Amino acid sequence: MSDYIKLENVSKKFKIGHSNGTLLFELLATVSRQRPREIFWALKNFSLSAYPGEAIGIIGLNGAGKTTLLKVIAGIYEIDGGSLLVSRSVMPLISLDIGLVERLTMRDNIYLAGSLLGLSRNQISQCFDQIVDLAELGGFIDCKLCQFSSGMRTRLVFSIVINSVKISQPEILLIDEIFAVGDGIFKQKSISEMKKLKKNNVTILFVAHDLEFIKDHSDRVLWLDRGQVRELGEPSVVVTHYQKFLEDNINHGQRQ
Amino acid sequence: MMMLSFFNKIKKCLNLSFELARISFKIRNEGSFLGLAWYLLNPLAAFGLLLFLFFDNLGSQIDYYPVYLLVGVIIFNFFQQATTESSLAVIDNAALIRSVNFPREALIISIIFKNIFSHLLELVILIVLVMAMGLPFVGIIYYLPVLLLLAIFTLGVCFILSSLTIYCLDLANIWNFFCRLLWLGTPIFYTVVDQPRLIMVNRFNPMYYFVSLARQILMPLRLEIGYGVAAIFYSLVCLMIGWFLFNRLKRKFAERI
Repeated sequence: MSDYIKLENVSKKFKIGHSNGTLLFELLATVSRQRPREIFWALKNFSLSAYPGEAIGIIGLNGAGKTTLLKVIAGIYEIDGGSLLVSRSVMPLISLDIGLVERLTMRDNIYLAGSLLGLSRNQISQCFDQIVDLAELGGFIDCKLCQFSSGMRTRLVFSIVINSVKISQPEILLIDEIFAVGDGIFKQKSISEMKKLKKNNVTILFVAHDLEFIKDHSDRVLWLDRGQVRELGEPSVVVTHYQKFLEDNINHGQRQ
Repeated sequence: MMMLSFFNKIKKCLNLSFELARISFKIRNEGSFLGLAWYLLNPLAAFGLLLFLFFDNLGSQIDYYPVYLLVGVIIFNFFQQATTESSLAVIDNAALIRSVNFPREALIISIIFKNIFSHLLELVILIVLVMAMGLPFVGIIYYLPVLLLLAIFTLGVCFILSSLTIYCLDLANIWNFFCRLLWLGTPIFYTVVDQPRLIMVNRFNPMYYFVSLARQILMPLRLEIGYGVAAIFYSLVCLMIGWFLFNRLKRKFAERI
């Protein structure tokens, strides 16, 4: 079976803007070369292949390039080098900003977010009840979103995305730190949904800081360090190394 | 197969645009007393004031002055509303663009959809006025192709504005100012007949052709083919430039905003 995702020597850089105030001054500073633009490599010569139905957990310090990696695969960022092959459709769950509007009811928001994720109106109507059920928000369908707590929002977003996945059947699901907010019951639910998707050969890439969670639910773990692969392989092994790395750093009291 | 997926993409994009337009319509009406009436109030107030100011003087030289004026006001209003809104459309949706990979064009197309809808409301008033003044009703039907061309032209401008504003935020302010100048420069409440200097300048003003064409269709004036050709030319060229620019720059949206 062929790979769903194949990244070869992918690089992604960001120009770090040291703001000089207005664009005019910035332009003058660039032209006169007083301040050369600094470049930050968020991903550098990064390679990865992912197989159908595989769950890859991604760990690493803040700023290691985890979210950038997901955004590159999702097609939100353009790469600056290397080759990126995403053979199948991708469903990203990168942040809670999937277009929800505070002043609208949950019903309208479900239709809005669903269409942004590529569903048609009919398809959303089909899975509307399932979305509400999975999010456990049955009594709030016609409440405005501004009255929702952050836990409710997270559940809503997760439920919309998971149900969109079921309908539009993409082969790749990207999840960034979505489990951090939910309670135990919600977590359990999300895990069982993820397992169902995996059985249907959906490849899942997820970022999490909960190492136990990563160890239990991924087939391989990727440790990202400053935009490069530090280690990739057996979950328990990589997580143990990472934990040791963390301890060392805490003892030295600084980031490397 | 390629063709099919291309059309599928376009259909999806239009669906999304329609949904976005519907939602933003809803947001605007939510919690507002007058709701839909706001869409009419602005152009109607401008129309009423201008009519009051110029009816006796300028109006006496122009036949069917109220229709002449209202056509100019609502056409320009469509253009101005859509373009000013689109200049900030990408920036206002920064968080969404950074986390979902939806077709970016839908943000802009939805603005056109929404403005076409409110334009249709204004059209109802135009129809009433046309009938009240005893002009042939059939002109309204021929007006629709002009509206289509205007929408295509405006879409092009919106694409250009929305993608360039990311690089230069001043553009949103400059555009506001420019629109005011263009409003005065386009013969909306006056006429350029017998003023060669003004006609000369207006040759380069696309809005002039749309406004004139609509008037030629609705009022007993001679329909000039040249104006139609110019309107088609301007709208297609503008859409092509806008589409090209937007497609080149949209890949950078997520990291620029």
